[in-house]
Amino acid sequence: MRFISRAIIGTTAATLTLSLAACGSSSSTGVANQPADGASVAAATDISQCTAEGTTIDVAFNSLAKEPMEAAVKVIEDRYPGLSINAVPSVSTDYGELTQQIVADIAVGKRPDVIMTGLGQMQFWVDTYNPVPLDKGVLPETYQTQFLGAGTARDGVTYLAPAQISAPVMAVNQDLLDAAGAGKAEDIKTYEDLLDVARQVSDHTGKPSVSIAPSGLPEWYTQGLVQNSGGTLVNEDGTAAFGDAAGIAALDIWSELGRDGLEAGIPAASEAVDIFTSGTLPVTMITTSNIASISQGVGDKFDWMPIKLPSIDGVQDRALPAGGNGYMVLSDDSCRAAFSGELIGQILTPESVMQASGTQRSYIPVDTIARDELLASDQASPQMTFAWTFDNKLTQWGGGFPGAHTAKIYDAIELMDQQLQTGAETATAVQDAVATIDAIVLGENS
Amino acid sequence: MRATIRIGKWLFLAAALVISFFPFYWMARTSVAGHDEVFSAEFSFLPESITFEAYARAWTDGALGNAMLVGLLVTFAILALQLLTCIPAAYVLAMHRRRWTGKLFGFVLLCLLIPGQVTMIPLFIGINQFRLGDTLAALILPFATSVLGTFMIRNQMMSIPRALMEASEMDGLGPVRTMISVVVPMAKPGIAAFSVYSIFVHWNDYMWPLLAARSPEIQTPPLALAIFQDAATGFDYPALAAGAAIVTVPIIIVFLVAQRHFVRGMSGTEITG
Repeated sequence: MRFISRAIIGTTAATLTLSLAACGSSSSTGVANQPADGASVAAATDISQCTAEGTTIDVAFNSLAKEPMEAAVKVIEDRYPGLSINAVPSVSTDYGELTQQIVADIAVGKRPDVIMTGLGQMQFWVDTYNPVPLDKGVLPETYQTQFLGAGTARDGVTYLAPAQISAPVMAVNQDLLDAAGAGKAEDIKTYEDLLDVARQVSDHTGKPSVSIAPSGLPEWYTQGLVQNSGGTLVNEDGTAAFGDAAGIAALDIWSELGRDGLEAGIPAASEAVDIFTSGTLPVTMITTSNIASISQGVGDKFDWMPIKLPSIDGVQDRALPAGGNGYMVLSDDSCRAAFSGELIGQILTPESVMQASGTQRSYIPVDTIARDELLASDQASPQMTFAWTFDNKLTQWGGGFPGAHTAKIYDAIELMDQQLQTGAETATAVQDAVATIDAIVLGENS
Repeated sequence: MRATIRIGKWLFLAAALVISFFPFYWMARTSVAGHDEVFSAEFSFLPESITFEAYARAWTDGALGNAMLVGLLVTFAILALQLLTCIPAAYVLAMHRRRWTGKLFGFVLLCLLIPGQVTMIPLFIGINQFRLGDTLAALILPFATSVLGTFMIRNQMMSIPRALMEASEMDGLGPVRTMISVVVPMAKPGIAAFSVYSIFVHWNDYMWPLLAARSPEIQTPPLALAIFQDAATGFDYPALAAGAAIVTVPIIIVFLVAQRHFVRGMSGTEITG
């Protein structure tokens, strides 16, 4: 009897012990801010000095690149007999979740050799996990090197090879403009043009007519507006630079739309895309990667066109922050780093870029041969052609904010964006955000 | 006057019913509508045309058949282990009170306050140290017991009259026999309520399987559906709705089967003393 009682108490104790291990096991969305676990090699060695036999390359990527990765792996394994490449895609296409998986893997000693990352997280990897600088020699000759700016970090070193990339633009429902007699989408070049169109359409419909959503991609949209009007997001020391006159003027369009009752007040970027696709929203900020899905959703229900972001002075070819993804090398072995570089080069060949961008997707092709093939395809509608020929110079997403604090900094920017959307006084909202960001950054530096 | 109140109650219940069922209806409607209809500006209760193509796409592209098998295996294995561990723990805490059981129970309650994010990475490290990463065991073992389960079942057991315990003791039943033959049957509503809750949570869990299950063959239904959520280019809403409709079916069946116990367990009305 006593034995049985002890057994029950023992079970209880075991249960409670297990509880302590399991009680926190539920959902989570945050990215762990792990310290660097080991470091990458300074550079890849000459691949001719390396033995493929018995070497295994681990690749962490997501299902957005499933087909091009499969093709690239086959080519590299054929090229180097004995080399094994372990590349199983993550099902999630959320870059934050991919980062979380990789950070967890590194925490248990499974540091991958090659990682795909969202361009918004590049600085996090650079500051926290010391990636290997990109060997530009592995890139095909037809790779559009003007896009490498998107893979260049605050220290001026290019760590990442952009693969599937996009840029912030606007989508305009031409039918709604026509109904209001508000002119042509392509004539919207300045903020004044945008405000005129918005007023005319809103007068006609009685509803707000423009959406710049503050959530989903807050720092990216903010950076796009700032840079497109000649401002700068980040200073060289990592503090916020958009509190100057240029930055405030660039962001004032957001607040002015809000103050004049022209901002639709849609909270999330993805919702704005869906509502635009339904045909009820005249103008919205989008990314070029949205163009394919909007085209599919709109069909021939109405006439629409993507346009470059309007700016204060009408200049529309300034450098914009790149969205999308790319590849970096995290190898802690110089030979594995060399093979990893070869794999990245193969993922960026014209054939792979064709698969990655594809006729059903509207990423900006990073390869000229792939771009020309896409433009020659029967999918090259005016909207898709706009995406595939987008040629503004591209820069790093986040502009170089310190990687260890990007989440907090992006939260501060999102709060500012929410205030601007409701028509808050621009200078106050911007200066508050700048002060918050600088406190975060300087706190880290001190 | 009484009739008016009665009609008002019925209207209120009808409105609550519509609000509860509308998301399910809209999911079903989206799953059989065309992709362009999802974005239609006009509200239409019925789709213009009906196609089941999204169901085929969800089933094949999402490999839902395998994912649901894995999901069922994982969910019910977790439930079995949780009942095996939580019931004895609850029994001791509720029926064999000592000076230390109150403090121990307080400690258990404290555990409910720890957010999942805090323990996720340590748990992942622990699982990998046992070389269980990317296995079914990694999906099951971390949830082998549940603080909430111990709490719910213990509370249910607290309402069992102590006279019954004394009677079973006088009849010569030992603690294990008493637990199995007397206490567990009377705590069934609490156990059923927790079981339904556990099945809901683990069938729908996304974050832990995302970390722990990398191989396609051990992916659970929420992971299988992620393929239709292309963060960069947009969602495939019809396939997502079709997939969600398919994976919701087992949960609805479980709830319908255990509905009576679940409601009683949650409201604590089974045992009147």
